[in-house]
Amino acid sequence: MKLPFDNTSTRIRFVALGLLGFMLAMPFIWMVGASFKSRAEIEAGGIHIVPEEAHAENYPVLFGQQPEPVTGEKLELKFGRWFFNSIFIAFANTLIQVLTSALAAFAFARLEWRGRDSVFLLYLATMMIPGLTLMIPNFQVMVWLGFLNTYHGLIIPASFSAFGTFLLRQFMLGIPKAMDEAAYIDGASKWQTFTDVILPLARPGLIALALITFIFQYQQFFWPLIMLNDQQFFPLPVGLLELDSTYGQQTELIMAAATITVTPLVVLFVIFQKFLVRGIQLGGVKG
Amino acid sequence: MSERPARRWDANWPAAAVFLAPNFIGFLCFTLFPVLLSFAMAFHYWTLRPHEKASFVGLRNFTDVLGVRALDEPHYGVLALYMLCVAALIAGLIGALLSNVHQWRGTRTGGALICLTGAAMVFGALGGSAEHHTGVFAFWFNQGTQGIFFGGILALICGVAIVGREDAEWDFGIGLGPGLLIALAVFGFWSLGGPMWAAYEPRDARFWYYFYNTLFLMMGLPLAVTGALGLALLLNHDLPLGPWRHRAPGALVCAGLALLCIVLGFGLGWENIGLFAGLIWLFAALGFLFNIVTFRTIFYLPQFTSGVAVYILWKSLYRPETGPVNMGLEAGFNAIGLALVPPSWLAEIAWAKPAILVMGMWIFIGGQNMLLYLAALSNVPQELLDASLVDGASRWQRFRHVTWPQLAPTTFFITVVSVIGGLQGGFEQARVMTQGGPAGSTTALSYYIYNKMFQDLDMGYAAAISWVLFAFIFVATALNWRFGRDQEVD
Amino acid sequence: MKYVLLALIGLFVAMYAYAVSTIEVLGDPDRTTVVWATDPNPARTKQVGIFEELNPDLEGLVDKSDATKLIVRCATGTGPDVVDIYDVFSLATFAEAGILMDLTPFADSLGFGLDDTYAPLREGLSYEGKQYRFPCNVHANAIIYNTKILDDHGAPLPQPDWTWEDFIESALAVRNNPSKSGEEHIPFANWNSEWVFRDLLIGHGGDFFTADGLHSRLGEEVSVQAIELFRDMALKHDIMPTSAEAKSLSSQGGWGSGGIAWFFNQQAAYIHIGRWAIVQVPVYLKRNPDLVENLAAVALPRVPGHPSRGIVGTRAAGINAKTKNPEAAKRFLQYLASRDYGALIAADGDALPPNPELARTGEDLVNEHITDPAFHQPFIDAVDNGVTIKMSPFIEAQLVQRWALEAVEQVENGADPRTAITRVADEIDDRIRQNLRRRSALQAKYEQVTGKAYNDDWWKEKVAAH
Repeated sequence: MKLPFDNTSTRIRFVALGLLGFMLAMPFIWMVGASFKSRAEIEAGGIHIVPEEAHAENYPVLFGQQPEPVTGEKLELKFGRWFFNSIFIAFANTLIQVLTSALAAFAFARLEWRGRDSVFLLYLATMMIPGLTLMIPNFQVMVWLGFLNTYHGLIIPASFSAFGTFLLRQFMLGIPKAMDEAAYIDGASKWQTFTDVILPLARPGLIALALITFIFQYQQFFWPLIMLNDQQFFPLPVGLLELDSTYGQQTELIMAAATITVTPLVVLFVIFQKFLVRGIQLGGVKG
Repeated sequence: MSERPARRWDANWPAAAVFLAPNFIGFLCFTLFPVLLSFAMAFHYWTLRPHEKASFVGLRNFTDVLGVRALDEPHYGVLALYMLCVAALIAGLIGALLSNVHQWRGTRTGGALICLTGAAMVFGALGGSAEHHTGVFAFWFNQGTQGIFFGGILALICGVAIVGREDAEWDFGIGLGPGLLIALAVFGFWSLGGPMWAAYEPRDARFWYYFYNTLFLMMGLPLAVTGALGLALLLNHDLPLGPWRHRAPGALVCAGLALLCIVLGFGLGWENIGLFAGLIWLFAALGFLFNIVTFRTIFYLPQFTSGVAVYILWKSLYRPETGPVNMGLEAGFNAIGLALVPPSWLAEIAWAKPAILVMGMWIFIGGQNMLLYLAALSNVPQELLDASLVDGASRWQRFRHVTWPQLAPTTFFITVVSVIGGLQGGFEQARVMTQGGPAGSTTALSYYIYNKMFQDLDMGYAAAISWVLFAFIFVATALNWRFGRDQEVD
Repeated sequence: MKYVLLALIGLFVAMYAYAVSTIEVLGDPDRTTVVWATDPNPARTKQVGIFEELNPDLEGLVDKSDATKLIVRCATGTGPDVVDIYDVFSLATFAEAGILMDLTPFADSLGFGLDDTYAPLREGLSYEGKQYRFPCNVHANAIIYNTKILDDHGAPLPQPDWTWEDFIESALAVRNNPSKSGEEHIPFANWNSEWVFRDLLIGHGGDFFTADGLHSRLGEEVSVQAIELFRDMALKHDIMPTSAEAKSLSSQGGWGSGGIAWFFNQQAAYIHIGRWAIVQVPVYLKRNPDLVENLAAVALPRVPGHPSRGIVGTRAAGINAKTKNPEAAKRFLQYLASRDYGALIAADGDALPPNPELARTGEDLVNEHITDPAFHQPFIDAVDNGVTIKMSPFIEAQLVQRWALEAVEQVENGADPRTAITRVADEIDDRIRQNLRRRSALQAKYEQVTGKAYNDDWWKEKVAAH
């Protein structure tokens, strides 16, 4: 059998890639392994990747289906709810953001109106403001509106982003005007042009924006942390913190929770790799 | 610019308004208004306490953050000179950047000056700490000398990079100015330091400490960037493994070896070693099957999934006695015969930040930076590479003279974006892993702002700090816009 | 594409409906609810249960969420009705933030006034002359020790009037002497460095502030001695792990962890803690059947020339100024002062009950797990001899606590104790001066306290006077 490694540089590359991949993936593998360990094993020390016996009961314990081993009581923390919250909030934010950004991007890319460029410049300028600077006054606004500790407070403010408009505008500018004019000749109104011509052609951009936004919102920590007190509204990042503060010593539980948190991201990435990669490379980087 | 569209597309206010409305209303309420409100807050004493009203205090928040206060009697002379040194340093840094971009004359000599300054700082830090403690590495525990040491290293690296540009001349010219300014400023700090800090103290010493923490955590940046570049280079071309006929057997062989290792390991009782070896072969098998895509996925995952879950994972990894890191280190030390005990990472003032730094490097070595470099590498014109081959250039020369300049815009972009992200970041790590760290040693500026807001309820002060942060970020962004444009090659 | 969009919107609407419809609004609509923000101790359920039995028209709900956000929640109107306040620092902060209801007008008549609890505690329940809280439990620290471990290492047992030197000697014996059983033990399970330091400070005769609150006493010689003793125990004699080590070492988990777990798993000889620690005993009895026989308690060691003295503290409940159910909240506080609640606390071992009559001698506190009155007596004595630390109105208590903690952490990491603590004292003094310069309300207070007119150089006279 002919081995393809007749080239030294290929061999070196292969080995280097293998080692690096190994080092980067190790913590994740340890995490999954630890989530299947028993209490005693964790106490003894964590160097073994593979648990001696697979204790899958950590997962039902997490979801409150089984009593946890130390106190013998079921968890009062609503992990399942947190999972739902994360998905729900990220999904809602993404939907609203993509829709409003698409509409606004069309206004900037295709319509001509007085003040268009100045308003766009305003959008760009505010993109420069760091998120942290904005969160302080936004918190005060939430207090005034009474949105603290509600779903509305998490969804509504985060749904508007200048970045989405910017990204989609780039995409739309890349669509040849000939398509619009063909539609115009056929008697289409602006709205029809938008829905029938532009949107389908901008689909890669829409998907890229949706993915980027979903991932970003899923990972949000600071904003839900300051907005929420009530456990039932927590998304996973804040919930993980809560779990860690109460059950932090029980590494196997925490690792199970972390595994569950990370899994949707991995799945999304593996499926949508191409879109994500292209989106990042086209739109630069978001926060 | 295309010719004026037909009248139907003109005067589109009503239509534009309809399309823009949802986004714009949100923009007004949750972006524009808060920006203005935050700006206003920074000039007020603004608090969440029920009985206290906001009151206008002018620049007081800002002077409290950045200013100094006389301890006894004011020594205006020393203060003025010190401020002059600060101004000189800033001017020198900006000047150095400009001179490098525009290739002023004398840049290389200026670079040599910067090298010398850096070396002086390094030796000064090492020597200065030797007075107070024994041993060269005792300086590690004094965060002030740490700062000087790393600043010196940074200056050295920049200086060497400038000096290393072989296409520049060793002459005198305006490019000498920035280097001279920086050297003079550092000298000024060193000589004036004594009298200055005897007469004055910073109003918010913690701000500067936390600023240093934030900068420290950004130290992994060069490594992450070069690492990303390295990874991108490794991944740029598919490994020449040949068509399916050749790959499939290779994959099978590797998978078989993996299984063998695992079984042997478990059988002989060396589970871990068996597992490690087996995993490496497993990756090899995957590599055969999917080639580069496997590795790209693996390399991207840490940054992609980074968030609270990953920080909690690393918190468990760093556990002093039972965490894998320390157990591995101890095993390693025992194997070599060293009787060293690894430190308690997140629990010690001296080691908490380096621990977080290492984690940061693990996260950022792949990720978006790598992807951006991959895209840029694929855009390098093949003709240039071929031409250099014809000229007989070695691989290294080809990289240095053809590839690297083509990558310059991407490198610039990545650096700027990482700086902006790094200045604002550090909150999640601090909150999740260390709560600000032993004695505040892992508190980043964003965590300080959070504390000011929620524990001290002093929102005006928090806003002022965030605007100071914005000033730095603005400089980075402005540089990006200004020079990023210039450097775009396509 | 249109259908995809419609499907997505439909999904959103469905999720939204589900999310909103499943929001749990806690509480029975028929009864008035009292939301009580406290720690996640499982015993709260029982305590609330008895409250509901005695007040059938009221419902008690325990709110275990993050205590650090309590101020913001109360200030913005989303806070609980009754709030647990754990120490004088929090009391000062909450009171200054204006989120607590002043209890003074009605506390005596309703039965939870200052006279209804232990005398040494009174100052700790008030801030600026107004009462703001009433105890849920009262604690003062003593030393619990494990006779079996001490015997194992041949270490001398504590005597009632012992000094810190005796303590160190005994702890060193645990560390250095080989044990008969072959196991190693931690001499002193330090589970909270802050508390150890504060008790040392009080034991040396020091305090945080002068009586008028205008100057910090942390720079005094007794204070330096206290922190030097702390440093010696942690670093020089190495009998006590640092707080970071305590937090990070793996343990059994459950309520309370780290040092507490080591001690009750019989891995440590001494622990500095209040009576509330024995709530843990049932959990650890499973693994350590001989635990109770080996436990004994003794008063804190004393500093030569001073009596044995520590801080008497309390986890006390206050009422949210913006509560919607003030009457119900007051009834909850009445319940805390009642005998039913007190008996529960005494029997559970959750420190001392608020009502002093239920804890006159060790006999009163005998509970099902620890039946020896001599075990409980030192805790009662500690409360009787205890002192509360007073905060100064001229500086934010949060800052004081944070800075003091930083100093302790720095010392644990090898910083020089004298420098660390005097720096904190200087920072506090600076801050007091700054606050006085800026706030006229404080200047008025200054005049009230000193009887002199305020001027910006007031502190120079003080410095000269020292």
